[in-house]
Amino acid sequence: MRKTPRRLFLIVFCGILLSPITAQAYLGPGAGFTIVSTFFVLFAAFASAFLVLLTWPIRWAWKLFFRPKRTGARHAKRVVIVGLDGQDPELTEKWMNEGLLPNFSRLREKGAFARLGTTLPAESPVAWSSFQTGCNPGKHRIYDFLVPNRKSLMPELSSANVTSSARTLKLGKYIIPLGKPIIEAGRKSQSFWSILGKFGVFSAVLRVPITFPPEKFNGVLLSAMNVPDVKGSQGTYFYFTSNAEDKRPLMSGQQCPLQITDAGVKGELPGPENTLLKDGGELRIPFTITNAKNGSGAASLQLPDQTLELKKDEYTPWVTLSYKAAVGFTVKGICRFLLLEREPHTRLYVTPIQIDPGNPALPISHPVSYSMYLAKRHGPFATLGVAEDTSGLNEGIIGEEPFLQQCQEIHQEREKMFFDALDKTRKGAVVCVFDITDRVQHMFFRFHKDKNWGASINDARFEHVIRDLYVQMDALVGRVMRELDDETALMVLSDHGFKPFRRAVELNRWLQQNGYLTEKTDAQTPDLLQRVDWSKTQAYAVGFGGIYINMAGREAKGIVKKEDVQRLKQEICGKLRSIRDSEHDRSPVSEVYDRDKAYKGPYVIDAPDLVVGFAPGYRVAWETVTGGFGKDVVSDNVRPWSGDHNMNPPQVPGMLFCNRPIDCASPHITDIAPTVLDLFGVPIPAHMDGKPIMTGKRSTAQKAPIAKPNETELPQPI
Amino acid sequence: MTTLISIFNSGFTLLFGLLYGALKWLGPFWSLVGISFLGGILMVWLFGKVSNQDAIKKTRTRMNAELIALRLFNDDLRVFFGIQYQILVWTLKYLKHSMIPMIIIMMPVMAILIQLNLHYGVRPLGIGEQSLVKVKLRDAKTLALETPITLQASDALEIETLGVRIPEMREVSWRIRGASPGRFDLVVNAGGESMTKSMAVGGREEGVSSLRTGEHWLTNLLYPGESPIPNSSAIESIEILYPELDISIFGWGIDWMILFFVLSMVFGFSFKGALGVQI
Repeated sequence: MRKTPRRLFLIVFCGILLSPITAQAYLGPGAGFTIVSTFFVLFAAFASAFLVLLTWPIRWAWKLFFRPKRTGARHAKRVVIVGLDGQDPELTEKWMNEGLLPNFSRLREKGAFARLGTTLPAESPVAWSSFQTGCNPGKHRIYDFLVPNRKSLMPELSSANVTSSARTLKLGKYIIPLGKPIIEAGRKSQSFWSILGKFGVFSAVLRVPITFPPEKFNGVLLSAMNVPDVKGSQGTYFYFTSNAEDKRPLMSGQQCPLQITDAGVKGELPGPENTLLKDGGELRIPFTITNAKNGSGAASLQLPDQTLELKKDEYTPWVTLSYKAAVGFTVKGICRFLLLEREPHTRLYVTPIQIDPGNPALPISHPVSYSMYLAKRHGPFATLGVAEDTSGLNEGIIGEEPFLQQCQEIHQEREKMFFDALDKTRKGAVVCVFDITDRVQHMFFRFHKDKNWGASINDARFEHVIRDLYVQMDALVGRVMRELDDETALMVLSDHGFKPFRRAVELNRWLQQNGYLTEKTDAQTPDLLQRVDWSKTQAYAVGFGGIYINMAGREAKGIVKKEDVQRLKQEICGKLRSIRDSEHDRSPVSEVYDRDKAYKGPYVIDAPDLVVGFAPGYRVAWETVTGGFGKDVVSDNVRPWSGDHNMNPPQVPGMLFCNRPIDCASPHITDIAPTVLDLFGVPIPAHMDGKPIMTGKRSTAQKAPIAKPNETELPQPI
Repeated sequence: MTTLISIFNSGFTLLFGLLYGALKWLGPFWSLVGISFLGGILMVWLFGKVSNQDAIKKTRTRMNAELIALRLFNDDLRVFFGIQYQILVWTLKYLKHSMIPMIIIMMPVMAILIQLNLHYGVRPLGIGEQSLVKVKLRDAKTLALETPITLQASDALEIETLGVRIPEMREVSWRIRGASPGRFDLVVNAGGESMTKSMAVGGREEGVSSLRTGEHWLTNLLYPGESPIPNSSAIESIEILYPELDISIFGWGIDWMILFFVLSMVFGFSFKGALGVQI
């Protein structure tokens, strides 16, 4: 509104107020709401303050008498852990030495820097599970992203399983669920923040992988890896095109047509299955794209309840979508649109439709209101487990720049949440894992000049993306350090390192060529272990390096007798170690691990029988991951996904920086949980495999020696 | 100013009269529900037009965030009271963003309330029912006993007493009683001049003008039922103390202003989403 009318109204208003005649007045519903809601807000605030003050002595007394007692002295008021997923210690050290990472260098000088032993296999779900539980995988049961279901003989997610409520009420065509969806956690054992909570220590935990479903404890938690999208998948992006001849073989995305109309194009945005209706099918939201009327050359995207401007190569902000399943039942999701092309064909990329944090269809935080708080406090944010859409780039739908932009914007969202948690947690633990380091390295290692493999693509635009990212993380660490006082212990760590992924090893093809696996010849049979002829198969591979024996009595169609398993494992081990990559004259396999030696705990029975530790530069082929078959045993990896860590663990350790000295030459990721408990004086449970590494036994003048990769031995920690 | 108010009064009273006329067959309660419905939606729509919706949305969202934060972070008193402070800050910001629209909306709301007061404040005098007519004079000297001050009415009204003069209040009062239904004019003679005031006895349970007042823009605005008394007249105002209009639902009497307040809020709240207005 312009200033002049405002002034006029003000003058009139003042005139009324000054008039010597009394009058009753009501300001109308809009203003009435303002007054009423302001009253309620203030009432709620003051009432809660009063309650908190009133109950404070009671709560204090309750904690004093009934809470478990800490056994040791508290060595820190606050512990801050910054996880930089996949940040490589070797590259970090190199760039520290070049003076590019002053804050990391400061931490190294002031406290400690060490290689951090990682898990077998060296991958995020396994390593972060060991991080939070202080246990080897034999005790937390996370061995890989994908594991085979021994009954259905199909691969499945290891960490969470979401199913609809078993109890339903059928009313005509409607099927009304009589309960919440059941979310089964795959990760066993206890997280250190759960233990801290029992001793009254508050924790704020943000985006630590394998925290879905969120557990209840004294603190707040936002789940990460394995949070599904609204379709229930781990991230299905959408590629719309009006070009009927443009057909892409997408694995993680869904291609959808755009129909040409007089005004532009129209399409339908797929959503979740409508489980409220018998044969409900997939919920969809129609949309149209027309030329914007403002003559800007932009396009206009019309959704049922909103219109957005689409500019080529520019992401829209997060857009809230409402999928209406039935009257009163709406599933909310958020996504972003990226117009790839308008002429001659319209091409549109849509990010996976993620659970709306402000109105979550599934609990993605503890308490549920925490994600709502974050959404209201900082705006909508990516909630998907792996939110950065590596698949979109890997499958050639989006380019490098849009991918980087997506990563950076998600990272900024995380930073805001992290610093907010830091601000609100003056005592207790603050844990946050940033994924950008992992995602960008996966996709940009092909441009990085590796000391052994060089760059597979020379492109000056992206040559230093990884280096610049490390510099960015250094700045983040610098800002964190400025927020801390002397009573705060800081740990900056990664779960594993990174190496180039140049050559892919197809384990199922190798098993087949060596007579351990028989492939069905019917070409129509899909992958996902469905092409395995179980009656003639002794071993099969699924996931990032796991080999499973088709054991009688365990696998649904097992044929290998229990007494033959050990012999078969040794035989396969020996042969795997002797594989040669003739094209590069290298050995792709550094080590093969027997689960009975590598793991210890009640869940070893669920582990792969053998785990292959690939040499740097080699990784299991994409086909093997999902239980399929590639053409050759060893072939070039030509995809943009060009960096990896699913290699022999001692060759891809993580890193650990602390602002205090550590008293261990070869710390392991399982040491972090007991270290945090120890810092708060909380007793360390006997089942934890790790040990505290910040006990202060050594003089603060001493620096922890930097463990070299070959010092971090496997199996660890048994 | 007075002329402007008179023009506005005439126009708005006519418009409102049309609306009221269309709804009055429903009876006082339901017609007020209808007017509250329209008024609520109109005011919410107007609030949306004259307010900074983005700022209000942002501020409200932030207030809600801080309210949730109160529950999440109540372990640490310093943090807790920091959140309380933020709530206060954002509530004040919210009030700041709402102040201008509130002031703007006050104008039409007042106009509506004035009309509502005209139609729902009082009802015609019943047959056999007693009341008072009060005439206020500009000059107390006019009340001198030698000055004749009389009240004349039609046969529909019985004037039960002589005029009682109250010099301290510059007022003369008569007790009256409704005799038969009708709409007519009372005539007051004072200081050698005559002034009329409309009067209603019996008939429909609907509002009537209770006060005819002098030329002041605000009083004219507040009492639009009749034309103002010229400032040159010895008479300042003529008031009939009509009984209040009884608005009841299920036998429970309720003040028209409270009813309008509640109903317009409820309707406004219900339709704010459809109107796309942040309040």
